[in-house]
Amino acid sequence: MKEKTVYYIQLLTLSFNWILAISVTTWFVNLVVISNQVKDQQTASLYISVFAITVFWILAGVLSYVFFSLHKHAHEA
Amino acid sequence: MSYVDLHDEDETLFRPIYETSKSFYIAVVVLTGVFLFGLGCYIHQLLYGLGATGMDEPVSWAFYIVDFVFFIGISHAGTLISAILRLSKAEWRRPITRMAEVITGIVLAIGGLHPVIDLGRPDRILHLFERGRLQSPLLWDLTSVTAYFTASTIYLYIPMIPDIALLRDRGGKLQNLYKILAWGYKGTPKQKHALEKAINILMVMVIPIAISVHTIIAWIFGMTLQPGWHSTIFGPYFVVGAIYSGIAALVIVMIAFRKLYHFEDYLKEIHFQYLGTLLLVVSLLWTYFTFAEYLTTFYGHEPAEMRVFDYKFIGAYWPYFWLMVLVNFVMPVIILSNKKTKTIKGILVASIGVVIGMWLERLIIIIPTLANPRLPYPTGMYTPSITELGIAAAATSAFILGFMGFSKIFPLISIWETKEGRESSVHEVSMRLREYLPGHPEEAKVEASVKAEL
Repeated sequence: MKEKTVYYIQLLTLSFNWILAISVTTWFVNLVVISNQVKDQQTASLYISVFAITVFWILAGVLSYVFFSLHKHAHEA
Repeated sequence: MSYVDLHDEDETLFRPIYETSKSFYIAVVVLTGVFLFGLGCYIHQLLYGLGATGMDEPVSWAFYIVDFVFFIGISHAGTLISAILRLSKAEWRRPITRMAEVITGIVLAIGGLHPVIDLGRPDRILHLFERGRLQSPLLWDLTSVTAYFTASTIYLYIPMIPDIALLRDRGGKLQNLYKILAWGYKGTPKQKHALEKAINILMVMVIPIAISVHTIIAWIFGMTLQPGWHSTIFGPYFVVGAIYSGIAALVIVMIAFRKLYHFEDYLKEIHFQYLGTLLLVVSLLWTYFTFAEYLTTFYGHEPAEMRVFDYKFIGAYWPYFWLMVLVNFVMPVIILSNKKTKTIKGILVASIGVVIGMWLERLIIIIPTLANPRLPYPTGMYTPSITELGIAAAATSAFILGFMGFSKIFPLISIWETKEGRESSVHEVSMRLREYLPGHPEEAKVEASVKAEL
């Protein structure tokens, strides 16, 4: 397999993590909007959502950091 | 360090990937058969609805939810134990962490599917995404399990990159897969530094996530007013139980694959001795929580609570309850606190007992409460159907198959960490020890700086 093809496949797999983080964020924002519309109590759920969203974004960030660092320093001594 | 040098020294760790015995194929055929039977049972349930199960009012949660809590509990074997061992710089962790992390990934995937199976109409899971109620602990659960699964998979993958690069450079099967997954790793110092930094961040992150997952599962029960469930200690009680079953499952897997792949030189008696001690400590902790939980219930003597209490202690569930006490407390304490019985075989027996006992504990928590509801319903009874038993067997088969499949693609023991242990840990640990001792810290620092300059 060509190096470039490998790189693009790697980028694609990495992007899944960002898609997951963005999807979770969108999902929670949607649930908050709905609960506001129906005047529902949000209680501790709001904190849990904020915590979960942060976790997903940090995980995607760590993975991206590793990916770009490994590629950047692949040929350094 | 050139990581290509590792080939000869740790050949045993590569062998399972390239060599497959006849017994392996036989095991795969048998396990696939069991899995397909379970799949058939599930298709039957899809066609005929939850009437195919033994569930009925008032027992509307049964085997599937028991298995869900059990499997998620087992998942604590991996990431949590591995992260704690890494964080505390326990050197004996090196051959253990990978297996522990793989267990987490597989059981989370299997356990996470169980609430969907329990739905009867799996398409209704989409309602949770579309219009889920934010204040429902079920929604918190979905979120925390997904977060834990994502974190665990990344925590398994990142420390595996140097080993994948090794496999890529060796040539042979699955070259393209290894090329993609190695992310261009060549073992340069800056690449190693980036990996270490990421592992450090992840191991700190993963511990609270793992604890939150089982706490939230406990809250699904604890936040109701049901007798036997409405307890403030349910969160930590579930976490302790999860770690307990996780360690036991890890020991069983380690012993099985040690024998199957001849890892005796890597998974030594000392590793099992340490894990045995850990198992004993958690056994006592679990017993303490169990005692505290039931003692307060008994002294409160609230009628609805006492119906559940009696159902467990002297009623229909007494055999399961006392068997749980036997295999979760009496047996492990006797085996693991005696030098003569604390052998690999003894630890295996204790661990098998604990896994069975922890499954029974989940059963005892869920069914008796539903069978004796607070509202004036007649007492319910639950007997699992063939469908439920088949799906439970399939889940167990899927776990073993998943683990076996993993061992055919990736090394079950971290090769680069083993090498690193050989090369630098002895010196590092002796320096650390000297720093702990009185009177020597400065000398140790000077020695370390001289070595660094050299």
